[in-house]
Amino acid sequence: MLSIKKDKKNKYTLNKEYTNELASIYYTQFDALYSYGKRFTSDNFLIEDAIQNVFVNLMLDDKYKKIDNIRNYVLVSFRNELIRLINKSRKHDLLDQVNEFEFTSEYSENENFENEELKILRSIISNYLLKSTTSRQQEIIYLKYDLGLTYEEISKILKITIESCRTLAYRTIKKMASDPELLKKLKALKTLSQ
Amino acid sequence: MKTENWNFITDLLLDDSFTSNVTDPSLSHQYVEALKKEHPDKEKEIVMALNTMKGIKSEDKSYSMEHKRAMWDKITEKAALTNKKRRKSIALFVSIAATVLLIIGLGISSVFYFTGNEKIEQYALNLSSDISTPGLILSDGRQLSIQGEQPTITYSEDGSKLIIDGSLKVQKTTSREDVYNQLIAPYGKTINLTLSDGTRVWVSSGSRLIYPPSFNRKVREIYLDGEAYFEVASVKNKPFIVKTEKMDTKVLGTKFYVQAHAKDDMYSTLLLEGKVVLSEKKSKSHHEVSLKPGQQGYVNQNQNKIRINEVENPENKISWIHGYFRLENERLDLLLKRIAKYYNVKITLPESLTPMVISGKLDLKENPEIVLNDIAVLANLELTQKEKIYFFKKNEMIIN
Repeated sequence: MLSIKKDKKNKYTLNKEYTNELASIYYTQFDALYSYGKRFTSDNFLIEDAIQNVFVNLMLDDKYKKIDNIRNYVLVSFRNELIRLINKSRKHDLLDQVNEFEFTSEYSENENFENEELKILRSIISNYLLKSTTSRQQEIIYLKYDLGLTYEEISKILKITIESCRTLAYRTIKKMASDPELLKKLKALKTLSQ
Repeated sequence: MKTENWNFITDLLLDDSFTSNVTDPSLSHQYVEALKKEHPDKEKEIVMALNTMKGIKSEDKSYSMEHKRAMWDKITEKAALTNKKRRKSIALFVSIAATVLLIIGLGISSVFYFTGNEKIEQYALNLSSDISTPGLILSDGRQLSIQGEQPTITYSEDGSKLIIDGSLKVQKTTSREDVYNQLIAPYGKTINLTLSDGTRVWVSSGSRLIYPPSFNRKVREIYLDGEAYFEVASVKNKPFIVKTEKMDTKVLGTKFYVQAHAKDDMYSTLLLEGKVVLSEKKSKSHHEVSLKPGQQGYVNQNQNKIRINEVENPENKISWIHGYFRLENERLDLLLKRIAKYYNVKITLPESLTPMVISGKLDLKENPEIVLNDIAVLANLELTQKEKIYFFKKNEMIIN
């Protein structure tokens, strides 16, 4: 099935219903994709280009109808596309070229009216994660707790087995929960048990 | 805190169903309550796990709707362009086929035209035409407001779903023919509407458009009270008719601009592409004319005969769909008339200034004052305002 139909005078319009379905996915997933992309690069143009390319490609054929988990499909293709674009942009700078991708959590100062305790809690945990975990662990943590993905979904994004995904998360969380320094800091907070 | 507690907490944190349920705002509350019931002695740990998750999670960020919408427009544009390149060879064939269809279709459509019933006009008359409450009324009577600087509304093919400024709405649809939606564009804004058949309509400020969510009849009929620009998608054997109180425009697939101002008794259609047939309907003779691109057919006060005007640069007349007026030696008084209509404001101009012509590009901002100030600067005039009426006069200051 073609996803386009002839409009007039060589102008094409895309199949409306399909476009509308994609639009609702786009609008619900935009924030998640953007903040996920922010963890890879501070270059907003690259992130926007990657989002655009993912949806343009989806629009050009109906393959998405055969995909059962469209949200995860979008995440996987977004990550691939973003990494491709970042590496492409770094090619001009030979010294800066990297093969292994760096996923660094960037915890910004919060300007919202959120309560003080939560702010402190967040900074304690994020400081710990930045110091004591690898970028891969941080990415799993992000996918699991920010986006609420399952191990199966995460394994598809990171291209590792479900088992190693589970093991990695297990190690990270167990290690965190047994870090005496961290626990001591957390204990001082009232929020945690309220 | 004891280590035992943390075992339960980490178990929760590592559990798929816990993390995916808790991160979904629509499920979170219910899930947590059920969990507390299941483990009444572990309530403290459950709360701790939730708070730890809050700590791990970075703050929620959301990006402006406007930004998202602009990007989505880019995506659809890019997809359409890529498609065009890919299918160039098919394009030629389809293009020829469509031309043939248009010619055949125009012959057939005149038969439909006079047999079409007047249901939509009846509906339009019965419905409140109160322009002061702009928005969209769905077939089930729900009223939706329209926000955003450049609002867009898109219907799905069956008319049951529509996206307003990016948010999805669902309405019940039936195969009944007399179900309509009514759209009233707020003053100072142009609404970009895509109907269920793919036809695009730019509904101008303060105008009212009535249309069925999906076109189930043999003829696609819509009713206009005000101004709109149309890019009609061609559909085999289904002519498209823009009805107004005094004059109808019938087409198959083409671009044209309709003005229907009952208050001023002024009705016109400007054709940009394709072919349309106009028919006047107040007199007994039902005068009919067909237009060529660049021609504007109109009926004026107390007249029943359609006259034709040749329009130079017709694209300039519809530049408002992109949010600006393109002016080429436009008479100042006529321009101010258009602006007064667009923003629903009163503007006066001394007679001595009416022969003045003005050229340039005028951005249609939401606030009429900014626009009028731009004109004042462009024409070297002085603008004053008194109780919602704007006055233009000659600039007294002499600049050397």
